[in-house]
Amino acid sequence: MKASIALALTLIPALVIASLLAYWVYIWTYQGVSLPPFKPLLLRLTVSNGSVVSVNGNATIVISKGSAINASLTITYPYPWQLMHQTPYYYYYYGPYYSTQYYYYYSGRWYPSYQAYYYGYYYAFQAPQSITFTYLLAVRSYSGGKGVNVVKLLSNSVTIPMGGSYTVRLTNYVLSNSGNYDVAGFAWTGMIDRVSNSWASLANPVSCSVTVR
Amino acid sequence: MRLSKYLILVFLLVCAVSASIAPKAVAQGITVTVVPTMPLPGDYVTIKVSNVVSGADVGFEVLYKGNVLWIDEVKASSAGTASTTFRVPTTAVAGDKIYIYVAVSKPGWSSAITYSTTIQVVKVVSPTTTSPTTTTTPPTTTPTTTMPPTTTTTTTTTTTTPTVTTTTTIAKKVAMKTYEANISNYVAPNGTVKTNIEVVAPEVKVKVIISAGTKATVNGVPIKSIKIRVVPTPSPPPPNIVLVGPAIDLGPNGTVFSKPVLIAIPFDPSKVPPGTPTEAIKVAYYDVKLGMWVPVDTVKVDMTNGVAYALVTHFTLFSTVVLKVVTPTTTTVTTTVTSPVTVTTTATSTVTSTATVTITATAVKTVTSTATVTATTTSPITKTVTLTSTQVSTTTTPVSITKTVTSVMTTKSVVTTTKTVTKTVQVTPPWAYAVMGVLAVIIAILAVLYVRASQRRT
Repeated sequence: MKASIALALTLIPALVIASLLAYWVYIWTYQGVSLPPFKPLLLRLTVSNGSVVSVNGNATIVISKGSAINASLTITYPYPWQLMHQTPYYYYYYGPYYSTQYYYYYSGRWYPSYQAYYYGYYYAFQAPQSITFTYLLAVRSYSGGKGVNVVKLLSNSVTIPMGGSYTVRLTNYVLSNSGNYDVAGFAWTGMIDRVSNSWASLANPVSCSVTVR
Repeated sequence: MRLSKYLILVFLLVCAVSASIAPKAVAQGITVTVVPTMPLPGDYVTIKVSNVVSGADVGFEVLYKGNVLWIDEVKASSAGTASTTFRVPTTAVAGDKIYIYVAVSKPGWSSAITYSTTIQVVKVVSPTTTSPTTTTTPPTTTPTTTMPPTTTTTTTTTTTTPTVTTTTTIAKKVAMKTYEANISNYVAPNGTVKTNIEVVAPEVKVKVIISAGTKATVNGVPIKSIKIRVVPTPSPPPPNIVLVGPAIDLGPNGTVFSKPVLIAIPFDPSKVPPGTPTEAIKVAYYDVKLGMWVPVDTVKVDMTNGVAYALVTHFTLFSTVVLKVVTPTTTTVTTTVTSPVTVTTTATSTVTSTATVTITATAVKTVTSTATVTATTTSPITKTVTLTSTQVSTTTTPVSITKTVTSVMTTKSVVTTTKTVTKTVQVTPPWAYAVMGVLAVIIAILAVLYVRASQRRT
């Protein structure tokens, strides 16, 4: 009996200390390497043949040879709370800034409170007030499921403020040859050959299939 | 006795909890494979990235003549791979370069791992498109005829690329199974070829294509003619190689070219073992010093007509061979080394042709260093693999050494570009373990004192 009490009195503080120790080690060494990518931008791709409008690829556009398509890519840099329920990984916490003080629970997931945004304790790296990115709106041809080449590319570097958006349009683009194409939109930090290891994708890419008969 | 058991239990619990929450060291390396690296115009090129963290964004950018030929962004699969394809423009000409850039953004906010390479377009001019448009006297002599044909026909025709002209010359038969073409009119005094030259010996299905601007010399002297000789009894091949065609002696022997020259060497498709993949059929040259047939960069194999095309930079004795597939063998040795870690291991290739030997040293903390060497002889291959101090966390680290001798089929023309970029991202700092150990000892001491005090009170 006495031995059991001694065991309990030994184990309980030992486990408490060990847990604290583990937590400290976790906080000190955690560098976020297991976190998903940071993607602050949202893309909305609209492709139309005049009668059918596809938004983010929810429909395949079919045109006859020699006809034209219109496409627009809107890149939005929303305020953090506008992304809250769409990209929850955006708000993961980091190391010493971890604090339950700025949490609230919604729909099975923890989110930071608006106060957290105000105090800037909401994620590892502060969202900048403006963001510079390179958009790519490409028309790509395919053959047998394999990529062939880029037949049209609109690309430029743009800076927009938080809460702002930018739209690039491809107007009356004629596809002269029959085949399978897609219109794809990307938002990168820059072209890989120029930015090298600073490259990152800033938004989930969007695309829309186009069939030319 | 019981007390010691309790203490052991406490130690085990502390160790188990600590070990379970200790972050793993992460070494992010990517392997990029581009197939093929010497494509023909119109070929599809596949870029495959492996050893990527699942879910990572992989960006692809392909540039050709300053323009974007292909872009793509793929999320890495659960297997850690991502790939894309593009097509070499059909208007590309031999020598055109295509620049490939790959970037992998790791989860979190670390910098991306990037990879870039350049592939070069080659061009096989098919016989139907480059045959002379007018031939005054086609060679009608049979192979056994000793009298040479009387006419050497030189015509100018247009190849598949309209802007490039090729001078086609039918080689004249000068002796038994020996042909010669005079090209002195198309070679500048310094040995530079003025125009694309195609020398054809139709009877033996041998062809040599030299692109304009190539410098062709033998011992510094410009060549004036190209000789083609069929060797009746070639040297015996090594055991793992099967000769499937005649040996063709291209001359003048010792001719070197400043740019790769395309040659077509015939073979007998019926001699190719059933089920042999075309990748295993290679043009090979006879290396006199090594005394063996050495495969060269074979760009195309025409099984229907029995012709293999290859790029070479010198003239010597060529033939067509079939490589036997060597089953990959892997040997794993576990040893213990002392930090700083330097692992030296030796792998011996058992094949007598080109083989790739991969030596991998894997330490604890999932850090891997890989070294790949290519051997063309049977001499032992020694490679030293060094792990940096950040890749180990203790002074004595078990290291697993894996030596893999891959198939001889993994020669340059099949898996042409494979590069592993290894980058250590995060390693648990050694001092964290030190603090953990010290605190564990303190806990144990406190536990002993507490239990002893309890015993005294009772």
